[in-house]
Amino acid sequence: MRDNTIISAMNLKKYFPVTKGTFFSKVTGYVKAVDDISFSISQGQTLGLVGESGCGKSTTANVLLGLEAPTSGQIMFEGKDITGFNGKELFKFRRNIQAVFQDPFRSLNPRKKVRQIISEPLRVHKVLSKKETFSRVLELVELVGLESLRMDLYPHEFSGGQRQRIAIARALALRPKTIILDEPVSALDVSIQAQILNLLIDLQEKLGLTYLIIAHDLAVVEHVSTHIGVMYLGHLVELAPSEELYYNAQHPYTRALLASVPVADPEDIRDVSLEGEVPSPLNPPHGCTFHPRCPVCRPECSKKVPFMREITPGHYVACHLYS
Amino acid sequence: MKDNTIDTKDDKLLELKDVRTSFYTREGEVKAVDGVSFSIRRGEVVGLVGESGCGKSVTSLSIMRLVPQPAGEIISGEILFKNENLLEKSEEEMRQLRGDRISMILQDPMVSLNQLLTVGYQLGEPLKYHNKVTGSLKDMCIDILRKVRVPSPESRINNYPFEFSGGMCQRALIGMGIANAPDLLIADEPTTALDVSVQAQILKLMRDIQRESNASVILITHDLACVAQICSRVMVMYAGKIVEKAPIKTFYKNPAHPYSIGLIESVPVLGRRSKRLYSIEGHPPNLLDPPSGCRFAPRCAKAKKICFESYPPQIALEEGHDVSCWLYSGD
Repeated sequence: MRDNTIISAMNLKKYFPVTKGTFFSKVTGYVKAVDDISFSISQGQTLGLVGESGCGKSTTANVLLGLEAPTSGQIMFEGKDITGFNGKELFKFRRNIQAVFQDPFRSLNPRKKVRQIISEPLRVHKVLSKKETFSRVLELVELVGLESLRMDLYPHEFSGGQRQRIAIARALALRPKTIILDEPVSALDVSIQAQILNLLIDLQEKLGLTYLIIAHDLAVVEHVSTHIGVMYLGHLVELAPSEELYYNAQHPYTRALLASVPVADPEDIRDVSLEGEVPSPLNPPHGCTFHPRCPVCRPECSKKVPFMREITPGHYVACHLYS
Repeated sequence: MKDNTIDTKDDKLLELKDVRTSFYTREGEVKAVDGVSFSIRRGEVVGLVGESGCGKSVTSLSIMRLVPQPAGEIISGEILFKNENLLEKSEEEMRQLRGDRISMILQDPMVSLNQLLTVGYQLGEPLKYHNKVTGSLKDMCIDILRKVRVPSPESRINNYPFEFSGGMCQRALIGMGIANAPDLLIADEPTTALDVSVQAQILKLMRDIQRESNASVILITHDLACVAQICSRVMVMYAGKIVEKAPIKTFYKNPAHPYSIGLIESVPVLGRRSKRLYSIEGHPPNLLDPPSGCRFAPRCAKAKKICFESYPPQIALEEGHDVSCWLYSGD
């Protein structure tokens, strides 16, 4: 789509088989966790993926990281198709793309010291000598604002915010070009959340990083992203630059989602804008998966799956209202 | 929701006077709740806001007398519920109160329900325990589910919690909480584990139910937006102490305590995009060894010398708006 695209996904699908029976198990169906999504992220930009639980955001991240093999579709990294990578190739590729996960209490090995945790990627990929590793770790710790940190302590001796900083330092160790952030602040307190978001923005500027950030909190995503994609039941329903998405949301789901975010203003009491709940991905509705909850549903919505259409430059919507 | 009116003695439902709850650990005494005083009127919805570890949940457990023992203990203070001190009640008397006059809605709906019993059975438990069953228990349970807007309640009562979605489980839990029409409902992070669209639905449900039943509600949360949506008053807690109490509109327009200001500023707001978020530096203190003086002083940009020396008194800025901060002491 754009020029200096660093990572892109084309018609990416990830289906998980549902089986019945312990022995001689039969596949009885598929959970379409990610169903035909396409997007691309340019150098230095941030794509935010939002959606409710079970919409496939995290599966998308896992597929991009090479932790899950896609069912079909293509992932391009700097113009190279990385979909078929395995073994050595995948191992080498992983240097370019690192991850920070949601819960810093679970993503850091409790039996390792902070120094070991941060230097682990360097040791695994054997990029630096022992001495260089030592100084690189110090550099990283400084980068994430933990100068005064004692490196021979264990993760449980730190607060949630400090641990997330450690996780970020570990992700930066190999000088990756892209970082995938899966709910990086949702386990943190409000005052700490702001610190981490600011740190992420600073690091991006300093190091020219490209982010894919996944969160359920629209306000968080809007704050850090240049582009936002909205997911619903495995589909990408809307993709646009973040300001455009906020001021000019087109898909009924995006609009409802924006309207249902509670605001910290007692004079702006929000009503329920979205009735019902997300249907089971095991048995998603026919046609547009959003149609049973959609306030402007039309007859064709329950029959045909809407395709992504570019309505204004850079603004894509998958909805029959715009076809 | 009532607006803030002047306190009169008789419509006070709950009053905490200098409650102190501590936990004894190997490293020493952790003063989780350190001298908390507040009162709740009938039919009032009050938000208790703070970050994790500030003592908001321990405050609610103290009211319920459910502080885990022997590690924890309510050391001193008075908790007056309808002018009776709960701390002087026997365990049996407390059991009669819990789930009947005071009930609690817990954070994680999937974990708080017993997975091995049907939702209907669990809904009936508070009714049976408090001998409130009149007529058919099943019909009463169906009624409760209908009250919390669970679709087709007749068949739903035979389901197990794992057959319910997160939002439905939370509705069932709210149903259990209001089964006996309590005078006081304590909701501990009722929407934190839920998705945004469901969150809005649960907030609306709580608002409706509160209006129908006129129960008093203490909403414990870290989410300032939730508080703004349903509360009429806010109390902000930091490191075991309440630092500010204010009517809801005053709080968002004129927050007084630097911590409250920081909290409000540090939440990203949709559509109000700025380059950087305001952030409070540092992190909450260790309650094993809290800083002397104001506990927020080490993180406070406006801290003066006195802030590090002694804890500020509670200063009334206007009717119903109290703050514990040296900036407002007048000198």
